[in-house]
Amino acid sequence: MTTKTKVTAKLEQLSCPDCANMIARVVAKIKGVEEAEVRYTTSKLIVTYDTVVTSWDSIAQSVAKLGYKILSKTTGS
Amino acid sequence: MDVPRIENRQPWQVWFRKNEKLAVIIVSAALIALAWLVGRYSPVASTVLMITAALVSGYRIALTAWFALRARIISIQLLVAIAAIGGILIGNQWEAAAVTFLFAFGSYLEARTIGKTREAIQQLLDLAPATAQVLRDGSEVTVAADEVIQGETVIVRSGGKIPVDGIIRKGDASVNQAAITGESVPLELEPESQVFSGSLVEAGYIEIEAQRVGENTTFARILHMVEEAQERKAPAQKFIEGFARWYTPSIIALAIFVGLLTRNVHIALTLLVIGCPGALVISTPISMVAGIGNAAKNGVLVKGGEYLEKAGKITLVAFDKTGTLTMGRPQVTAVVSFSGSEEDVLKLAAAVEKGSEHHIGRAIVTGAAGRNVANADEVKVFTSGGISGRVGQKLVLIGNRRLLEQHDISVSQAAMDWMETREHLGETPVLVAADQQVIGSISIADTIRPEAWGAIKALQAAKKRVVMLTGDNPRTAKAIADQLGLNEYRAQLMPEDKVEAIRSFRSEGHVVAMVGDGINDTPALAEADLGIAMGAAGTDAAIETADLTLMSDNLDKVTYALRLGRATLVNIRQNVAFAVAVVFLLVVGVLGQKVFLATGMLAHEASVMLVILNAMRLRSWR
Repeated sequence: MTTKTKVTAKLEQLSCPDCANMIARVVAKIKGVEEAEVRYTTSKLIVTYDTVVTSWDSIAQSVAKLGYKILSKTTGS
Repeated sequence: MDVPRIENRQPWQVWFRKNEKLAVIIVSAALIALAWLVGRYSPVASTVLMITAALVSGYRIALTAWFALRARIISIQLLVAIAAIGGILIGNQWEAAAVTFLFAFGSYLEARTIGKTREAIQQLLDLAPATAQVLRDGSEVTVAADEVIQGETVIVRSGGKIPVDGIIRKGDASVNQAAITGESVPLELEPESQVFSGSLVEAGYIEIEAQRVGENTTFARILHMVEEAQERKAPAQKFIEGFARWYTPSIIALAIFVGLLTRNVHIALTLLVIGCPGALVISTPISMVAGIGNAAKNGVLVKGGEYLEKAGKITLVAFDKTGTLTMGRPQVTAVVSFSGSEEDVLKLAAAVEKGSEHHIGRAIVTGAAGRNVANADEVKVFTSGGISGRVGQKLVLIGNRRLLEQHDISVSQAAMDWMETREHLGETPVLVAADQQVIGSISIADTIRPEAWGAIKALQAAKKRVVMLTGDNPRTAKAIADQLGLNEYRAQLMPEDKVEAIRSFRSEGHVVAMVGDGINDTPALAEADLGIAMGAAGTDAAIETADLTLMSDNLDKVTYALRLGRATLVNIRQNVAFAVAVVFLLVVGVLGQKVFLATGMLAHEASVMLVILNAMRLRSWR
């Protein structure tokens, strides 16, 4: 039984690719996050993390702290 | 997750929550304006107002910078924050306020405009109906569109949207399939017609047997593909992002170096403001997103921005003949008999062809419809073309002259003359032999698509080399090519020969587009620089292989796609050239002490905005 999960979240429209990269890099540094990618053109955050080490709430919190709204979220690839 | 709190909020509080960014911009703009107004009377009040304006618009920027920095990431926001704080410290409150205000305002405008660029996709999404009327236990019930069960009967009336992919079982209607095919002319559909989710019933009443629902419908997959295409990074974009990764730290290093060397903090801070080549990093993706959106609206699916770019570079277009330049619905045009009646020739041939998948076989079976056709045994299909079988006592063989001669059947001069006449008309005749004797021949022809002439002329006018590739015999191929005004064709090609033909065009230095139906010319589509599959609504394989997929059967979409590709390519080049010039001028301007904080930020944000606006022109391009 794996404790890894993949979540795709739709963020508010990003204004520049740099912001997308920054969010991805900040999320990737959260302990328990294996992979984080932010697709600038569609403003999607795709993150794979270990549910034992971290939670979606703490990931969402760091995105919010950076000043970006999360509009919706789906679990699974 | 937010816990909903029961609270009495004033309307303005609700508005503020939703439009926080805009509110910050308005307040900070008002403060700056006020600061200018009172400047004459009270410089101190003006300074305080300017600093407040910088704090209002800079607060969010600084917060972002701080949280990113805690993760040891140097963000653009950090550079802006340092520039603003530095500006205040060196006594340049106006510039500090301008820098933070312009950054916040620019980001807001840019995000909104990019959102508009993606609207084409949103408009498509809105076409998908949320609910469906379904017959359950004899009565009509309303269910969510993705909860319709396969095989159920879905009812759609005038003005309603079709919520599933399926087959009309009852009723008829005029259906607008613009969401799928980009063709806004409604089709008159009857029972047994295929319909797609996202289409609109303009008038009529139909009962549909649901075949694919929810995420599996053609429409849902189109939306998914368009989104993926927009996310895909083109090689040019990766290159630019690589440049940006190198550029930003270099500018920071330059700022520190210049600051230490000249002790001119103003220049150093200004360098930080232009540290992100914003217009450059956005130049390619934004044009592609707009181009892909325009294509999707017109029923052309693009697998990624780079293919749109490639479409703009095409120099040679190769068309498959059957099903692409022609309708792909061959019909029997003439039957001749050399012994017995014409009726017998057709009936014997139809008996053998009954189970045939080949388009010629199907045409013969259709041609014999309504006649009393026997059943055949021992049916054998030859890979080189042709078929044989036993009908009653007779051994029947259908094929071309080569196949018959391989079976030691001699073909008379009369038969050969007749065939030649038909071939000169652009038809495809086949010989029918029974018990080692040629008994007759059946000629089959396909209709050329009515828009083929216009499409080919448009391509030739655009200086593209146009070639027809066909498995048909040289005489038929020549006749069709002549009718279409094509001076180049390759005939009698097996699928692998088509691949070879494309390869040779490419080795001549051509950028080749191959247009086919995506079913039997898959290898050629893959070999071409740009594989274009047409009439793909409902066929998954074609969408998988092709780089560009035309949802409709309309050849005009080929010229449209190539023109859109060209427009996108030009748009990207304009954006990149402009952005490179801006980067260069800003660096020169800052070092030459012509550009300072406020003007630097203004030039930066304005250039990003111009690039986005230029790309937006592609949205309404036609």
